[in-house]
This record gives sequence, structure tokens and C-alpha cells, in this order.
Amino acid sequence: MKPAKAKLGLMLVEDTPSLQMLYRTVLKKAGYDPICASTGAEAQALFAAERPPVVLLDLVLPDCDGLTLLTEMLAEAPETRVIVITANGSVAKAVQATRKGAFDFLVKPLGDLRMIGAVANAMTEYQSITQGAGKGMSHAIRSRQDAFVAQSEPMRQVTTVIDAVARSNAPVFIIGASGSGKAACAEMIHLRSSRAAKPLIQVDCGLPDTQALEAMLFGTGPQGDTSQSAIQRAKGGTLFLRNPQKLTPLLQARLLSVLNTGKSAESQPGDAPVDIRIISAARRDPLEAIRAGEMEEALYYRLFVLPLTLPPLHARPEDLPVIAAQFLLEIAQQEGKQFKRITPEALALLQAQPWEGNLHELRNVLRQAVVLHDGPDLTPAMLPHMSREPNHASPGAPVILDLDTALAGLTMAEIEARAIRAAIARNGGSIPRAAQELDIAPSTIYRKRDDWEKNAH
Amino acid sequence: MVEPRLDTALLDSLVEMGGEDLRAQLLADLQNCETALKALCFSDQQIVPGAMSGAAQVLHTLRGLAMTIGATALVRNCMQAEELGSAVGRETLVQSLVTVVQECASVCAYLEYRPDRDA
Repeated sequence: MKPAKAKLGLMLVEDTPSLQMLYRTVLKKAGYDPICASTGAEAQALFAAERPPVVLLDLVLPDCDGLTLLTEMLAEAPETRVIVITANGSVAKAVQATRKGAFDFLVKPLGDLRMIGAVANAMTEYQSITQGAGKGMSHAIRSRQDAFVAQSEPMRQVTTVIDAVARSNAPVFIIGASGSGKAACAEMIHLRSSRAAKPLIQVDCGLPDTQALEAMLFGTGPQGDTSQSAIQRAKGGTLFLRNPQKLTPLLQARLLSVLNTGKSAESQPGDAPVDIRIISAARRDPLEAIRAGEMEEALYYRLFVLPLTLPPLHARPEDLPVIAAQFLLEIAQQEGKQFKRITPEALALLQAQPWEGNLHELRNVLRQAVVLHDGPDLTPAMLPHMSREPNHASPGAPVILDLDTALAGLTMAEIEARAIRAAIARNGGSIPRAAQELDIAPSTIYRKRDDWEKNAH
Repeated sequence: MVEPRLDTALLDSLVEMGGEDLRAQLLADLQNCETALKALCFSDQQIVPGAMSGAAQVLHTLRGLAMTIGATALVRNCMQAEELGSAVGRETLVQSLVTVVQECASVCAYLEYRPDRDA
């Protein structure tokens, strides 16, 4: 393997001498010549002097916390791509690092290919950032991003999380009800990442034809289909997996193998690991699928690294006028109609609906009105099936759940895990904010997540 | 001495790749961890929460090493010792560390006298 970017600098920070020696040997065999540090102080000095574009950083150092060092390096040189190294069982800390801006994380024991692949990706991304690739976004892309309306507070929080996760290479898991905009969100993350110029390939893992799905995803079905796989087509870009929990156990195992080894079915011996960023999406936290024995826990923890929860449409009424106006103009153009605006009365009616089908339902209602009527104004009379009753599901109105029923059959540990995960999701993936909401220390959540991960293995 | 439960194929391939220097360094690192833990177990030093945090650093390092060379039993022993924390009594902690030390010694012995070393 001959990395094209071997001349770029690389710093390895590892305090255990034999591991430093081992990693350095692997990196040298791949054509890199890393400078090495054994302590936080050494790393700080070398970083200040050499400004290496890529850093491999062990999170546990004898004289300082690796997370602090990570923050300092990114504050000094934000374009630096830092790959953190952590021991199995400390994955929560690695996730915390990716939230602080780490490019990727590696779990000990480090596989040679995985390490070289991560370094090569980081080098490529560093070059694309410093050479301006991805900065000159086309008008069409900018326009699609603008269509992701975020005037409401819940959506503003979502876009903040999107900006943060777009800088990372770690897997994102989007949770949102049907029609809440999961695909648009995945596109937004992809377009804001340094991979924007590369493909975004979408695969619906809930397809009933397992053989076709296998061929689509991996390129080789049981009948020898060798069409190019989604994994290969997404090379350098993003693979968007809808409903990965619905994959059969066999396909889950194959996907896990690709994620662990970086090798796809088409890979040849000596090939570099496949460089893809994974974004997944589902209506609910797939933890339920694990409980039902439908999803491999190992795959769940590989995909569910950076969770992102999309609010339903009824929870973001401030966004509805803009979204409805955009949909109206778009549909009117498609249908050759002259609709220009929505009257305040019609808008009030639209805002009062529960929108259980979210954006899909809104689009359907508007299409029906446009097809059956003429503009330029959309009026309440054109929305005959809309409920005139106040929307009880609107924000501010508490949603009453039958907790006894919802929690029946769960153990105390499961209830606790569910409450914590829900709080993390409600807070856009922020553990400190989730901890504040639950009135517990953030370290309690990290410890519990560590325990869940340990128990998963 | 207890036979170490480790992935000898993995360990041998690492040594093959990194050569004698890597083997010697792995051995030295493992022996350093063993010595540090022995000091905690067999000296008059109290294994109290403060001392346990010192042990935690050594256990973490040892766990990382053990994972890398495929010493699965040592990984498990380290994790068990790390999980004990300060909630248990001195005797339990020491017993747990002794188990780690014994397993570590077995791995060191394998590294020092690998059957195929001179082959």
C-alpha cells in the first residue's frame, strides 16, 4: 500500500513504549514517517513546533487527559485531523472526543488496515480542506440546504448538531418519525462535510427482496451478481442506510465485517480500506430491535455513535409557514398552476393540525389542494379535510402517556437505560444537557453507557 | 506457572513484524506493569482509593497491551480488577491484583521463551 500523501506530517501520541513502537512500525510499512510523543507535554511541544496535519492520539496519557490535549490542538489549528485511540470498554470517551471535533476513533487492539485507512482518510480530508475543496458549494447544493428550514428552536438545535457531526467522520444515527426529514438531514450532513463533492448513496435496508438488497449493498448476491455495490459507489463519500435494523442477521454480519475490516466483497488483497462515512436512520432507536433479537448489538454500537433526533412537524410550528410556502410554489410549478401564497386563515388551519405524517402528509395535502383548485391564494376552503379543532398535540400541550402500559415488562435497568437514551436524544445527543435534565452527573451517564457497551460484548 | 491464555499466532505475527526490538519492548512493558502491581499487592502500602487510582493507570496500560497481543485472559482479569474500584475490601482488591500479576507473569514467560524463538 503506497499512500499518496506520505509526505504530509503525522504525529503519534502513545505513552506505552511497545505500542508506540508497534504503531510506528505499521505506519512506516505503509509509507508514513510519524513523529512520536509519549506524554501530553511532549505532544504539546511537538505539535507547536511541527504542526502535523494528522495526529493519532491515545486518550489516556500519564500527565494529562487526551480530551484536553485534543481541544487545545484543535483550538490552535482547527484544520488538524485528530484520530483518537481508546481501549475497548472506553468507547464512550471516544464518542465524547468525536463531539469535541476528533476526526475518527480507533479502538484497541488496532487493526493495521483500519489504522492505515483512518490515517489515509484524514490525510485526504486535510488536503481537501486546506486546498478549498468543498468550500465552493454550488448554487444548487446551497439551495437544497436552504430548503432545510430551521426557524424553530428544536430545528435550530438540530442544525447545530448537524454542523458538529459534519466535521467528524464518525457514524451518525438519525431518529425521526416518518416524514420528519431524515433523508434531507442526511444530505445536509453530507453536503456540509468535506465529502460533499463525493457521492451520497442511499440504501433502504427494509427492502423485502433480501437477495436484491444484498446485491445492492455488497455487490455480490448469492447468485453471483457482481454489480457494483453501494459500498463501492459511496467510496470517498457517504453511505446512507435507512432502517439498518431490518437487515437479515446474515447481512448485518456482512455489514459489520465491512465496518470492522474496511474490506468489501470487491476488495482485492492489498487494496486500501474502503473510505466511507455511514449515516443511518430509523423511526425509533433500534434498541427495541435489539431487545426483540432482530439487531446485532455489535452493529448497533458501530452505527449508533452520534445520535441525532429530528422533531416531528407539530413540534416546530414556526417552520411550517416557510415549509408550506416552499412546497406550494414547488407543487404549483410541477402542476402548471399559479399559486403564489397561503392566506393567514389557511396557514392558521395548517398550523393547527397534528401532522402525524409530518412533511409527507403536508405535501400531500397541498398537492391535493393545488390539483383541485386554482390560485393565486390557497384558502381554507381548499382544505376541506383539515380538522377545525385545536391541535392538542401542539407544543406546550403535554402529551399524556399511559406510563404503566409503556413500561410494563421492562426491568428497572431497561427503564433507566430508556430514560437516559431518551434524554440524550431530546438534547440533540448532548450528554451534559441530558444529565442536567435528569439531575445527575454527566459522568454517571458515561459510566452507564460504558457498562451497556461492556455488557453488549 | 499457569499456561497463559493468549492468541499465540497473533503475538508471533506481531513479533515477526516488529522484530526482536518489539518483542523486548513488549516484554519490558509487561514486566514494568507486573512489578508495579506487585508492589501494590505485596508491600506495606495500603490499597486505598488513592492507591487504587495508581493501580488503575497501570491496569489500563496493561489492558491495552494485553488486547494488542491477544492475551484474552489478562484482558479479562484487568477489566475485573478495574471494575472493583474502592467499594470492596483490601483483601478482595489484592486477590484481584494477584490474579492479574500471575497471568501477566505467564504471558511474560511465553514472550521470553517463545518455543519458536530460535527457529
